[in-house]
Amino acid sequence: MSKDKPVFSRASSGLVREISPHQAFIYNFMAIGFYGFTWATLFSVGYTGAFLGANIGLAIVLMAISAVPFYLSTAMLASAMPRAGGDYVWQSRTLHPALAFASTFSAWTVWQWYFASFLGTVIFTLGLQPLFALLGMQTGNASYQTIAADLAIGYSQYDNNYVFLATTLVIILGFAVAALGIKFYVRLQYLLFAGSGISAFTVLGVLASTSHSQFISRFNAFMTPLITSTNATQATVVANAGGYYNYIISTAALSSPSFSLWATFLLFGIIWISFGYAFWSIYNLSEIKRAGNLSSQSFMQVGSSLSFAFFLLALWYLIQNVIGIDFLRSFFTLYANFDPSTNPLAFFYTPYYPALVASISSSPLIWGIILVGLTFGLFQVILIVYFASTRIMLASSIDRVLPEKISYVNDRTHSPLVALIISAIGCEAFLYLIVYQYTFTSYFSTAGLATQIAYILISVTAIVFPFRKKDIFEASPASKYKLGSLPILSIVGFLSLIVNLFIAYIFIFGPPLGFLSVYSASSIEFVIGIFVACLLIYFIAYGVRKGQKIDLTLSFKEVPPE
Amino acid sequence: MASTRLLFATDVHGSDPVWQKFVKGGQFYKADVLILGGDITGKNVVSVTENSDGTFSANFQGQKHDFKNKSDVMNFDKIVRRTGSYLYVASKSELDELAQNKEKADQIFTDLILQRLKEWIDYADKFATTPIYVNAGNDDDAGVDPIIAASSKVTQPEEKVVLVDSKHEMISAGFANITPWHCPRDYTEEEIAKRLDRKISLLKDPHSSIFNFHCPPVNSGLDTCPKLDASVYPPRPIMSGGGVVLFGAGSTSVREAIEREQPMLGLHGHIHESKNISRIGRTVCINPGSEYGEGVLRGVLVNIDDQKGYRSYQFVSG
Repeated sequence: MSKDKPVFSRASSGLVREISPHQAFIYNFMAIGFYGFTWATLFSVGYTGAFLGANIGLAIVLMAISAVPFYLSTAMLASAMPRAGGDYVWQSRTLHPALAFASTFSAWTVWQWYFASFLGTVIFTLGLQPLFALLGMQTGNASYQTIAADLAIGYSQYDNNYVFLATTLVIILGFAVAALGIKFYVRLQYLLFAGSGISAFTVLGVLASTSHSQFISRFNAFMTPLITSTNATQATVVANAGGYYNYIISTAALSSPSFSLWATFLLFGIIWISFGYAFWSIYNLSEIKRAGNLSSQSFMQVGSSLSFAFFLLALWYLIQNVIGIDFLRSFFTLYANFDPSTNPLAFFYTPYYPALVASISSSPLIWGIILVGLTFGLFQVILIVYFASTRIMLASSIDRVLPEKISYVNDRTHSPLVALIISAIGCEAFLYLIVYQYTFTSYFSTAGLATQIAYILISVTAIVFPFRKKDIFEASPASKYKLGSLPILSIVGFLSLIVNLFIAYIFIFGPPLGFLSVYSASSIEFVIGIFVACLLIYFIAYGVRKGQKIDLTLSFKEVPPE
Repeated sequence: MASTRLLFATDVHGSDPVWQKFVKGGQFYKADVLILGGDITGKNVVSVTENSDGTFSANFQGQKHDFKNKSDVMNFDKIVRRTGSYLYVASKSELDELAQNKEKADQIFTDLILQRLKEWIDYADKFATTPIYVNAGNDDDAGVDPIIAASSKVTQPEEKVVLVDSKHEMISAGFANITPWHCPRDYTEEEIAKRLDRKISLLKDPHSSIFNFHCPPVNSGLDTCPKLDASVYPPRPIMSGGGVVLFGAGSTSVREAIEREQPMLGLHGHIHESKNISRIGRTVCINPGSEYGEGVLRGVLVNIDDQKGYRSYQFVSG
């Protein structure tokens, strides 16, 4: 027994809240992700004509500042209602259970299946394909070259059986990991975090130890044999241009755009897709120590988002100064031109920044660390999707909105097997559509809008919470903060609403955001249609349960204590 | 066909609003019978130091609180009571003395517990509109039983068989298997088996009965919690491979009794973080979990037909 025992103590069982704020901080940092397709998109598409004059570094700073009201809102709501279920609980108790179910089930379940299956394909097109291509080129091993070629058909996932099969294996692997239970996942998570972290910092290290002129000479040296072996005429043209680096710039022949604050703001649409997940710890609120403490919540959410912004800024600074903006603009403008007859790029891998940085090193070890580590980061996001989506299904099932069978939990592994199977099927269905029915994917081109609906409703919850849940708010640490008589929670909620409405505007009216490249107005109706379908599920469940003498609204109502 | 709706909650651990919501829950949820499955007393005393200049100070949930006067302390008490803790105001010298005198500190703790329970029973006697059954849990001292027994509206069902409607009997057990804290009603599995057998022998029809057992059956999904290292105080979760080791902390004797007798319904608590429903054979077992620290009443509504028995359940979180 320790001598730190308090003055008053007695034997009483029960242990809750085992996750420290420090661990929750890391969890949120990881939820943003060292790697996601988002950063690859940001550092490529962000320099192209769609965002002419945008300043990526400034966009990161502005996004980090603009995100503070949202994360302060979620920190204050979390300290006021530090309960499992996060925004599902806040919205259901403050707005309406139907809205809460529809927004969380569509944003954090159905659409996450889409993101997971898409990221599954990216593991191959962005990570392993370039790795095998690099290995094949250096070793001359035909097997590596064949794998790289198979995964690179059309430099995309469309109609690519290999990508479909390999991604199916990833989905099954994710299912198996999740089905083995949280204990195994926690162990694997450390490995994946370490792998993606080492990869990300290796990228920073390679860039930091390379000067701009060194990058140019190494890049040219890397490309010269490739061009010579494939196209002798082009090799001469490239040589006359002073190397492939200059050749790309002169071929694209872009004029230098003047700075555009509007284009810079439009980049919010890309950044927020990953940056908006630094509140993910709210789904574990009942397990976090000092969850009712506003300082702890601010540290976990605002702190992790700002820390990540510093990482992102460092990456941007190095990419811009070592690789160069003119080259990046030219490079991706040409790459975005899918017409092979007018596309002079000789690249044999998907040319996003991780592969680009890897290729200026001659070490296969560095290639492996960067590109395999990248796949670790992407796989980690897929696992997070499995856990988050099944948790929401489980909560909805326990609340009797979804069928009871969905909440079946395996005795041995404590994993929700039925919900996991549904998630795996959902991911596979989206994968099929992405690979084989890509005209259908135009419906997914504003997928980000689906999550914006949830962000907007969280912001509205923050605005009205002090008035609709007055007792709970007054008892919370957030009640101390007021501007005159107006609660700060309502003010930051309002600011968050403006930011999130603006991002929704970008998804609806803004330029294509790279991976959401097939723009279609019908996708807006599709996103709203999924949301409405989720609303219908709630109301159908309401009717069915009524017949079983269950009033669903009772699950969400608070008994007045006085 | 008549039907009965039960509201079952558990592990309220001294939280004022949770108890008040439970008592009012009969009307609110249109429940016919209220059952509280044990662990009714709080776990913590917040000591407030009365300073020589007439101000007060306290440490609560990792934060220091300063109060200008007694009125501020009384407002603070409402927050403390919401979390299930008890407030004790004393001078620094008295608190220093109590730190050295465990017996005296324990007595103060017990007095605070019993005082609040008396207030709760008064509240129930005044506001309850439906029958209420409250049994103690493994955390609760023996002193709570006579206070409950003195109520005009609340029944302590531990030592008896009660009928929740015209047909369905209920037996209750507040004890649990040995925990790392060695609580007042922690027993060995052998002792639990013996005590359960005695209770079950009192039933006319175990098959249609309700087992209101505070401790859940082992490995049922109602008992999942971190495995603890009891060699340190307070017990700490055992970590392995970077994660907390989870296990089923329920009772093997409770599970055996349910598997053997196959009652209609099992109502359980004890493991706050393991809200769930599980079926053991035909028996529906439910643990609504607990969030007493946030002043939240977690409960479950169970609809029972007089003839067909169990019909449906619904978790509530009010």
